[in-house]
Amino acid sequence: MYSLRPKMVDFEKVWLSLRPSVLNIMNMNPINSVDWNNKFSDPKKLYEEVKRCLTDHVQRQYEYISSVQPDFLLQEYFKMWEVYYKGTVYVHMLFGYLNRQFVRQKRKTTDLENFSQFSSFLQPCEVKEVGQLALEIWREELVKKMLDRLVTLLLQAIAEDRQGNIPAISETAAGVITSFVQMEECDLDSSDDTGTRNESGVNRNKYRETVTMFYQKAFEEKFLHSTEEYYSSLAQKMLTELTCSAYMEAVIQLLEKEEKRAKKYLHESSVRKVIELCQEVMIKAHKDKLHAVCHDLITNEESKDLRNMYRLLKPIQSGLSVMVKEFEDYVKQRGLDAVSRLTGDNVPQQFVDNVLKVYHKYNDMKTAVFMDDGEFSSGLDKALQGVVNSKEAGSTVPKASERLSRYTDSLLKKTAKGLTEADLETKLSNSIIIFRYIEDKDIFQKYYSKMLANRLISGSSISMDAEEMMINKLKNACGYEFTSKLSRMFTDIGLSHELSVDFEKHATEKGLGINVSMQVLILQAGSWPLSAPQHSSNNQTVQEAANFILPVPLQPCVQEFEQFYTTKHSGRKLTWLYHMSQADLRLTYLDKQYVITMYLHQMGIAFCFEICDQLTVKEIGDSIGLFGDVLIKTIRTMIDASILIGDSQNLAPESVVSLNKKMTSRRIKFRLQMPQFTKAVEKETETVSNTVSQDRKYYMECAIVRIMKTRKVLKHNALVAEVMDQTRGRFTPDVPFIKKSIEDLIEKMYIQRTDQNDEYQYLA
Amino acid sequence: MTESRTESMPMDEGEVVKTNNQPTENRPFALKRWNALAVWAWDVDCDTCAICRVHLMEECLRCQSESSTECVVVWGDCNHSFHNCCMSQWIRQNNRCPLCQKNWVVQRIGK
Repeated sequence: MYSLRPKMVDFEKVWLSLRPSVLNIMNMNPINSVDWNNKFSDPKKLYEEVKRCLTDHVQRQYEYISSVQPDFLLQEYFKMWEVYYKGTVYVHMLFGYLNRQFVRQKRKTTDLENFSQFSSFLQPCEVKEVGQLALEIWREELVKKMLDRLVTLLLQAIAEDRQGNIPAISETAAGVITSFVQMEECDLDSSDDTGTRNESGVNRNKYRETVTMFYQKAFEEKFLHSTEEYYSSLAQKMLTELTCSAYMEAVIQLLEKEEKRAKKYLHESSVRKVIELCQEVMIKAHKDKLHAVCHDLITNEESKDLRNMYRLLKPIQSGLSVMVKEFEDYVKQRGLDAVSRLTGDNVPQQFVDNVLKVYHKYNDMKTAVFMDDGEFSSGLDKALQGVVNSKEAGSTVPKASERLSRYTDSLLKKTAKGLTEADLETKLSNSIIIFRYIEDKDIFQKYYSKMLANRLISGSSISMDAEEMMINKLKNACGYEFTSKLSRMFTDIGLSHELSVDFEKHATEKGLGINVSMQVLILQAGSWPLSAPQHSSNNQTVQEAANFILPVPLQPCVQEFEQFYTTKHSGRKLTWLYHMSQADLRLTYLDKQYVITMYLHQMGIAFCFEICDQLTVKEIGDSIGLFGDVLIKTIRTMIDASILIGDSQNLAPESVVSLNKKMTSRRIKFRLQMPQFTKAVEKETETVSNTVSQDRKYYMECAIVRIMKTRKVLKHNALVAEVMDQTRGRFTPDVPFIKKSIEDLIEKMYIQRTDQNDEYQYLA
Repeated sequence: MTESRTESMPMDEGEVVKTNNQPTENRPFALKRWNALAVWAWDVDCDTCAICRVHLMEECLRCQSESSTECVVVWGDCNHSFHNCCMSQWIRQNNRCPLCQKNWVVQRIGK
């Protein structure tokens, strides 16, 4: 019969039989495992005896190794350790039952898993699993007693490696160093079932952090110290012997080698430390010397050295700033050189080409040399911003907006020299590069919309697809709002073409007897940079033309069209811009049939000569409803084209003008110039800057009101900062301008000052 | 005008001659074609929408933020005009013209 009661065990007897087995295992001698089971009864006693046994063993090992010659010490130690470590793993497994039942139970009473945070206040339990116990004994009884000797030997080995003599014992040395980590290992059950792993997962993680503690104290500290000494003195020496560029190359090589070496000998956690230390003593400590040559390297565009310098300084905290600044300054200088003092007929083109040349060159350099580093990208951007927005001596506004829009105008005009579609697109995309750097984008918008209007009205766009493409590019770069008016203009043209076709169909169907082919452009007021003639306008030129009488043949066209238009739209009124309308007129009284494209004012004058060949200026004016400067200048354009002949150089109301019946021209088709009014010449820049400052004022006030409406109460500085932020996409306001706008809004009672200093409040 | 456009126009000189009342040879100038240019605006007395304070030629604030379809103008019997979207919001609360307080009756809607 079997008894279920535990059998009484005579411990002394059992232990005596157990002891030799333990020792056999620790020496990796083959043992007989049959008699290994059923031998434990008193776990505490067993644990103590195992401990004593291991201690004895290690002490004897120490006695042996103490007598070994230093030349063989590392090898002998390592051999011994390998055996001991394997043995430890096995013994640990043999005592699996003891580990589970005794050690863990004991631990649980102190180390409460559910109170893991609290458990950090508890004393670590003095009872260890057998494997750890064995390793601890090894550490305490053997390693610590001979640590200095071991470390000295290890450092010697590594020092030799650095000299280039890779020691024969390099693998042993690496193994010895690894042993410092291994002897703190606590994860000896890695082959265990996953159940226990999960259960004690928290503990494991906690132990893992401390796993390199002994290694760090015993070895790493000293190693880092010697590394620092070695490389500082090496750096000093190299600096006196080598040029800066050779030094940089040498350091790069040293770093690479040292990293390999660290990976070979050390625990993985040390690699980063070693490299950082090397960077510290070889780069950071001498970065002034690198910075000192930086200027010359950049000015000479020494790509190789610059790349080396970049690689060295990149990991140093804020190490690149000096380099980036040098780069920025240099690019800016090169850019300014390229765009200053531009002369000749095609300044816009030169400006764009030169800026792009600089941009592409240094953008490539940024990619090739500085690995597209963000700091260099923003340095490049800043430099180009400075170049693009630079003002020429004596001018108050940067010319970039005007030049860039003139450049795009030249690309998008029909006269452009046979570019392929792909070429055109590339060139337009390139102009967007410059556009992005423009600070006062609103000024660009003004110029661009004026030129776009001219192209669209005169039908001189290279293609509507190209126009649309450019508008889309601008939209992508600056947003929907920025291009909404440009898009509107573009749409108006499409709608107008449809309208013209419809009207012609309508006229034919109804037999309206419209005897002139008519193309109509109906533009939405407010979207186009045009001023309609108004009686109340204080612009003299506009007044003088306001009462223009439409030539008789065109009058039915306009009437019929207006009727037709009201059937399509309601609530709209049309204002005709005759001064900008053009017509093709064929002259039938000459030897050749010339076809001249002219403005309606000019055509009106021509029609005056249908019935007689000679008229005074005043008579002409009375019959077409023009007077003053407009009349005279318009007649002048026709005299210049030799359609008319004037009786004197300076036309006066009484001057007589007659039809030139002997006119000849080399070209059968040509167009008359629009009369140039002194105002119109300077107008462009002037009106642009006028409307821009009005728009800015409005934009600024809107921004302030918007901000105050959401914030209700805001300090002056905070308000200014937010305003700056909101307007940045359009233009860069200066603080006095913001202050002025705030004052104006206070006056208009949108906001008021509070009793606090520098604070405003929104008034609903 | 540019040549390509001239070519694209269906009407040629022959027709002009035919439809003219007078014989060509008596007229020194023959009009082939012309481009008429006009600007349209809403036929309103006041340029600004009194509800949203935006110019009537521009989209109202709501339409601007949504970049939606066309934003037209509405006239009341009182001849006051607003953005149609602004007004339709307004009359949900108050069926009077915000300017003259008369009952709001739509006279016409712009198109």
